[in-house]
Amino acid sequence: MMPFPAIIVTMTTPEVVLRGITVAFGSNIALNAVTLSFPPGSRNAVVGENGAGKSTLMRALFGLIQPDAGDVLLGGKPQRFSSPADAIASGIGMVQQHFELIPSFTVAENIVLGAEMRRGILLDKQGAESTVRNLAEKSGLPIDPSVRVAELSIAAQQRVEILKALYRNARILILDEPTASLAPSEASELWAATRRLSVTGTTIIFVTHKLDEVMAEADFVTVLRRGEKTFSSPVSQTAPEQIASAMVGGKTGLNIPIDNKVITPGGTRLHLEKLSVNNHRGSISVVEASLTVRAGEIVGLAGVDGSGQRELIEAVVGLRRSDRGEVSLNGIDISDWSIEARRNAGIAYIPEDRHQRALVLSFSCEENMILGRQRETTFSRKSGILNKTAIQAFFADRIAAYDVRGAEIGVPVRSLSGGNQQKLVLARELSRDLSLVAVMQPTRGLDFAAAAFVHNALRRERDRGVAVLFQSLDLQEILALSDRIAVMLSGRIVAILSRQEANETLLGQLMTGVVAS
Amino acid sequence: MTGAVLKTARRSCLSLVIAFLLGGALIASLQHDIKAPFAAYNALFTGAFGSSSSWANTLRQTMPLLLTGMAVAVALSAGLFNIGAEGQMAVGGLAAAVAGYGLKDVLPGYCLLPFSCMVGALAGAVWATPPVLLRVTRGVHEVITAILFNYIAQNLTRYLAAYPLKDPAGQAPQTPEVGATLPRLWAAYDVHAGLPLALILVCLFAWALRYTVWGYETRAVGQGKGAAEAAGIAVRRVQVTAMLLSGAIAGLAGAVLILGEVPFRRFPADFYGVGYGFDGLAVALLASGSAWGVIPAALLFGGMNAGAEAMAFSVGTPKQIVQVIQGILIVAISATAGLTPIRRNFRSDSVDADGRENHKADVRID
Repeated sequence: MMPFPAIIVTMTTPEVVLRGITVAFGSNIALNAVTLSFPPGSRNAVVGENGAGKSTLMRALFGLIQPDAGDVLLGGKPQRFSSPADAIASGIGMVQQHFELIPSFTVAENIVLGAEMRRGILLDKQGAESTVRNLAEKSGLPIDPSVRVAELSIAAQQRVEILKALYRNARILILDEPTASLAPSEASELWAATRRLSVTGTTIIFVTHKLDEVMAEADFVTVLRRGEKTFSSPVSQTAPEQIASAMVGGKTGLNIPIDNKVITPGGTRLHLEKLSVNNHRGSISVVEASLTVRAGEIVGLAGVDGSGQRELIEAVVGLRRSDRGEVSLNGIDISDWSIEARRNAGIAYIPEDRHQRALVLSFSCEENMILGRQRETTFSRKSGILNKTAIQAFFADRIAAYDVRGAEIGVPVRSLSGGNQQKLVLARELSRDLSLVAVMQPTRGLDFAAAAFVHNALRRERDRGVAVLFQSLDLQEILALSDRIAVMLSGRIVAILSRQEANETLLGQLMTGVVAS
Repeated sequence: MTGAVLKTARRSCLSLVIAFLLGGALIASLQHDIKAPFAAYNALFTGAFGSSSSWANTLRQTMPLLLTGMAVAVALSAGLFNIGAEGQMAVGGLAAAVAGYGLKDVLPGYCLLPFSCMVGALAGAVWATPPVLLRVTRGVHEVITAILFNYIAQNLTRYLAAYPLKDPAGQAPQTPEVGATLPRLWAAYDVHAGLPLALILVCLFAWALRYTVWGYETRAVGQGKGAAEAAGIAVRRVQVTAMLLSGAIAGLAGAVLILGEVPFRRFPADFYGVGYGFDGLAVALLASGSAWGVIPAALLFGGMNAGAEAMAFSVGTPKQIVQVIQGILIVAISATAGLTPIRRNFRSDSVDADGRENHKADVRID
């Protein structure tokens, strides 16, 4: 007989089955009848590009969103999770990409928050700390429970999040892109911890787009693409190429005509020399990227979403400071120039997010047509008074040239369709003397006709000797539009190919790191 | 644009109806008389617009509200909420009083008057500087800092007027009388040249917002900061300019009050709290959607302030009921999305590196 009653934690982990999960946001189907199962104590990778639906699937499993159809089954029993609290009560824990910790609280306080240990009306601080210390030792996630979270590294904060889930008896642990902001050594510590957890029966489900992690750390892999499950298999029977093609291959729905015109590019317009850019969280987004874009050529930036394409283009147009290296335009170092100076030097920018970055939605169409150009002598007098007549004449001319439907003087730009808004942005940005056009996701959300219009407009710029640098997540678009293709992986440019050398399979493998160039 | 203005005008009118209905219910229950609200509102209206002297009283109240309402509207048009108008007004008033007294033997009256006004405006702008600089460089929310600067202004002006700058000739804690005052428009009424000055400035502001590069860039920053930044507009410079201008107009309001109005002409230690700065917030919100809207909104608030005394005197309804109605009015406007710029502003957004911000441009000043 034991002298003290021992609390013996012998919970078994149920099998998780997702059956026919369908989630729609309006008319947009994020997940279409996805069926999956995660055996107890297994380590599972869910991979796919951004927008493939992997985070949505995890959020449905964790009760953050309610699927429109389909069931979550635990140990064969259907569950209804109307909130994360229900999922937690059923033994599911999730570590989101952005941690939900209170910086000014200690590790122990954060972990017990919402399930505090009490002594009367007081918080049992010592009890909490010793419980957390025990839990940390047992699960191999070393942490000092009395330290304030604000003083911890990202990796340590992530351990706190995992411990928070374990403290609530999570037997199924969901990790959303767990290594996205970890250094390699920190990542390997994390993987070691997940291995230990799975040995004790905890099911691990992690979302990633890094194939090396899938191959090394998962027992089972599932690939999602555009809301559908395209591949699911034990990792031991899977080649990385299969995963890569399931992730990025296939038809996109937009059948973009490829233009095989042979170009003869001119001199160097844009040159990046070992450009490094930090993102707002301080980690490196672009690592020593070197790239040249010449007059009269289109260079496409391919890569899985979040590989540093956005940061690279924003550093070119001036929205983001470069931390090291050089951005030069026509041979002049412009790294320290303001956005305005770069625009005046002939850089046009067509952003991915029209509503946030390209248009003032409550402004009228003609006001948007001169956004950024309001100080040009054509549009305002020396006295600082806008020349309405000239603005309206320019507007009428551009609207006709770019066939912007519905655009009228005095009508707010928000009332235009997405395709016509994008045409208006093109009409504004391309209607001046340019050296370089920097474009992000040129046809995101556009229908076929509008997309073709945008492509032709960019080709026309190239043909009149402008350098075009664009980024797209759509490989068909990359292949159709680019004269040369730069592939980014984890912030680095890992390959630069001519279009003739490139194909979807090769790009997919380069983007996911299956093959090095 | 006209559609949006009509929409906000309709919203403001609806809010007015709601405020007066609820205020009426309150009056009826206070006075145990179902007819009391009609008598009260009749007295309020007559007190505000019923005779030439009540008109004069209304215009006297309207004048500072035109300026403070415009001050808040200028900041709002660049997406900033200047809750510090009251403090800027007090600092501006004191500075104008000091200039108007200190230089009265140096400058002739026709120079002293505009100079004192300019000193007041400058002081208001200076007082608005720390909040906006902290906002654009450090991301500290301007509402918080401006409120704190109001406290500093309150106590600083009180101390200065009561001690170092006190009129040694009198007992009251106030500065000596200024050397030149704004001329009255009509000898019989206390309506002075500040009124046409304020009207001209509001018209100038409304025009400039729509027809100048400055106005275009200010509105672009206020309604679409991310797009303005990507288009090369110097967002921080625009915001600093708008806030300094806002502070200058609030400071000018203080100067005009001190230099024109009986019983002032001196800066009294308890000047802060005269209330026009805070009423200016309400005026700007009621006018939301249009710089021109500042004029009717200021007239409405001026009339309500002016009629309150008459209402209390003739039918015995407490004059504070008017403030209750004004309060309900603001709540009603915010309930119908009028306070969107405040909600937007409370998300700290000035130094996020991604520049991502969700703009709902329901309320805007143009």
